[in-house]
Amino acid sequence: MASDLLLVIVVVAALAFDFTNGFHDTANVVATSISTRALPPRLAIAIAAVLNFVGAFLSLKVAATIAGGIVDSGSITLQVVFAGLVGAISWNMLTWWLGLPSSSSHALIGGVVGAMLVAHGTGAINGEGLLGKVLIPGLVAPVLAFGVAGVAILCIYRIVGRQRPGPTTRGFRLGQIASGSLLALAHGTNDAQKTMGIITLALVAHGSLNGASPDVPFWVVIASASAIALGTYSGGWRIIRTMGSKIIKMDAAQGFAAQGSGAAVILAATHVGFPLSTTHVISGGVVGAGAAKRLSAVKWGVAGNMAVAWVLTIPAAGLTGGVAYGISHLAGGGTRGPIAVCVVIALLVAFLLRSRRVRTPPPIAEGAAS
Amino acid sequence: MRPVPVLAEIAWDDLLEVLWVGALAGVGVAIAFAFLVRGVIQVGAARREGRPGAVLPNAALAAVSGAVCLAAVIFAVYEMVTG
Repeated sequence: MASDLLLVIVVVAALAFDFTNGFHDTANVVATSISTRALPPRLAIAIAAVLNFVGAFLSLKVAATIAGGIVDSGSITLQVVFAGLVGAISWNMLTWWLGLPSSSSHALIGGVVGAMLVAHGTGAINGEGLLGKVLIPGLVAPVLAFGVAGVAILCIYRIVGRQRPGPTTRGFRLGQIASGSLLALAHGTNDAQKTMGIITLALVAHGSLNGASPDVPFWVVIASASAIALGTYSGGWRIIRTMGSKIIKMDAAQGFAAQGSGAAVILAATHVGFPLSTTHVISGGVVGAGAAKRLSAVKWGVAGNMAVAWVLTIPAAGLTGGVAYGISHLAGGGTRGPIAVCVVIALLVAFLLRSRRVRTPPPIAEGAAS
Repeated sequence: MRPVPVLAEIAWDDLLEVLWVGALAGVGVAIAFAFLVRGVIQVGAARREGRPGAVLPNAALAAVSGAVCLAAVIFAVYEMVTG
């Protein structure tokens, strides 16, 4: 009974993570379409939400990698999964607050690895899987998207450079509807599967699924697809602003090249089961499309802040996941552990909100100012 | 965590597949779509300027390019579903 309740808590936390993933990563999918005026914001987000939902049903290879390729699924416990999710959600919320497009995927993987390290030590981490399926592809993919978007935009300018700008822009805005849709589909396919993988891990830990060859249940697919689609529809406007206009001011052809290269790289990676960071890939595409036109067009300070957030994501989420597991363990495990973690988080949030109120100076009354 | 011989543990075949498929699809579809846009613009210009001889080749260019883009998207989704 207690483990059933704990499973419910973990599944709810996983779906909450999936919601924040959609919410946080909406920007990746829609920002370029919005900034080039290819689509009005609400319509762009609605299309992205629907295609994220559809994309979640296309493949299960990434879910299999998450469920069995990174940590020893035989040693996983519900407390570890919960602590990992806490690490990932905390990092997602912090970077959303700062308007930084960091990786939800790396936050999730970092959180679970951190919690697993504290719980079972280094022996429970599948170093080969972590390196070969997460870290190396995670480094290669944004560079690939950068290069592909750069070459693509140079070819595009070469082919349409002498055409009248009005019809050319209109043509690429139409193209962006297709490339943005494909990117949303790719995002749903790769990112929703990470939550499916985590819930599958929780079901293995609970004993509901066989750890040797866990299959993702269909209700998990439906729930994950719905949560990411709802998160996407809620939209994360802070990050949309960063992605859409703070890195570079894009024209429609650049937006098309960035989205097309991002979608191509993510779909190719999903096909072989790499749990890529869609954020890193599309950011690489956006910077590549800008840099190929003119290096100075890219706001390298913003790009640098994003790079710092990328490097910090796995260690920071891992540290938070490890601390969350420690608190859960100290509280006695079982259902008491996650409840203790929730209480600590609630206290921290209340403290932060209170300190913000204290630091904000009161508005100056008209009479007092003179 | 067991010590990892770095190069041996990378899934080279999968990584290479991502590299060439991502590059080919990303650049290929961008080129095809650019030719589609160019073809459509040129058809319009040829009609406006009364050059009927230029309509057919540009329309053919646009049609072939559009077909390539559509085929690439359908192939990508088909591979995702069946692969």
